Amino acid sequence: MKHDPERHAAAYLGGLLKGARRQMFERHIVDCEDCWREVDLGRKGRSVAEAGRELAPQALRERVRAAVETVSPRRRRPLWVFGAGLVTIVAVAVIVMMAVPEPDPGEIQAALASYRSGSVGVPAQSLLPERLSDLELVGADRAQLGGIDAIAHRYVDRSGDEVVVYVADEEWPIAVGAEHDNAGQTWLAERDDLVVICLNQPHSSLVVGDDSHDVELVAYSLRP
Amino acid sequence: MSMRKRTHDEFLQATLPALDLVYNLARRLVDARDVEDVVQETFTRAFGAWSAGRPPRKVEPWLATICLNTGRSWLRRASTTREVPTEPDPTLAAIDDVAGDAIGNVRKEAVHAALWELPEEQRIAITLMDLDGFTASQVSKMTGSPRGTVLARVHRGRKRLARILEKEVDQVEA
Repeated sequence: MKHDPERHAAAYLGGLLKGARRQMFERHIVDCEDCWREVDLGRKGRSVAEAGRELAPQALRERVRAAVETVSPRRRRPLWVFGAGLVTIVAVAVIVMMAVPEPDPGEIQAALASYRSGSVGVPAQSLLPERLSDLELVGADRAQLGGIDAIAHRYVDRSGDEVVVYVADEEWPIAVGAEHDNAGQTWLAERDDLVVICLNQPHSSLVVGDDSHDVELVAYSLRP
Repeated sequence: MSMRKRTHDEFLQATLPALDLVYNLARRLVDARDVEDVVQETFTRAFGAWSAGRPPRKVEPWLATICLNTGRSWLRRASTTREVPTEPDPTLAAIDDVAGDAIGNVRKEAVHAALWELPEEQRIAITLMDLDGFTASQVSKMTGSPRGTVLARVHRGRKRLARILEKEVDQVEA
């Protein structure tokens, strides 16, 4: 793991390091002068910035109030538009209720839960490169995801955003509602704040992260 | 109460508590002489959207996004040159420093001038996170930059601020 005090301090102060990684970094900064200085400077800068917060002048409050009161409200759409909208909503609701989406397969749910918890398993031999685009490998560990044994490869970008690539010997089940590429080799799904991309080649890989840009970069780098 | 008056009252009641937030952002977006115009335009634009039946789920990030767009349009339209204020801003004279925080004693004028020494992306990211209290995810959505990029900008900006104001911070800490 490359020692990059600025990147790790930004991730730590930004709350991106969680669980064991946060504790590990907190132990590290006690002995590492460079990281300690980065964190200290970041904290001081934050306090300084917060001290610059100002209150709007009272006269501006009155000016805004007066300006808004002179603006005529825009004419709302006529009632028949709402009526038509209501009919459409009811129709869509009926269709949605008739086709209640199935839950994702257990393996996909387990992978998302593993990413969110930030849990780290028993260290394992990495199957992937040390770098994928701008992201650096910071660890590989075993993960039991539903019925699939996988190796979780944890990558971070320059500011500590994490992307995990779960590599397995068997194929991953497809997430509900996933979008497939033209060749049918990959699929993509979004779940709340997470993005998942699955590739079959060169390894059966599930790429998970909360920054879609990073997830796409990693998936693109993994393609043969 | 007329429908018209009720719409205005509902809007003002929901949005005026966020005036300080919009003001702080506008102060770091445009030249001092344009700040109040940008704030006013932000609220009148927001009212247009509100009264057309598009009230937001969360007022603060909605107003901040409108303010960002308004400020940038304003700069393009007026070709305003942004300068570091050289004279103390009269609006700051009446404002007390944040109590109870040692570093809060650093003069607001000095912090404001130091913020203007930062590159625009760092200045805006710090304003949205440290002055306006948004999360990195919210700032990421408002600015269209990845969350990691937002945090990197904020961290570099904070370091630079601390260095620019090093003497004042040290004096306060001593």
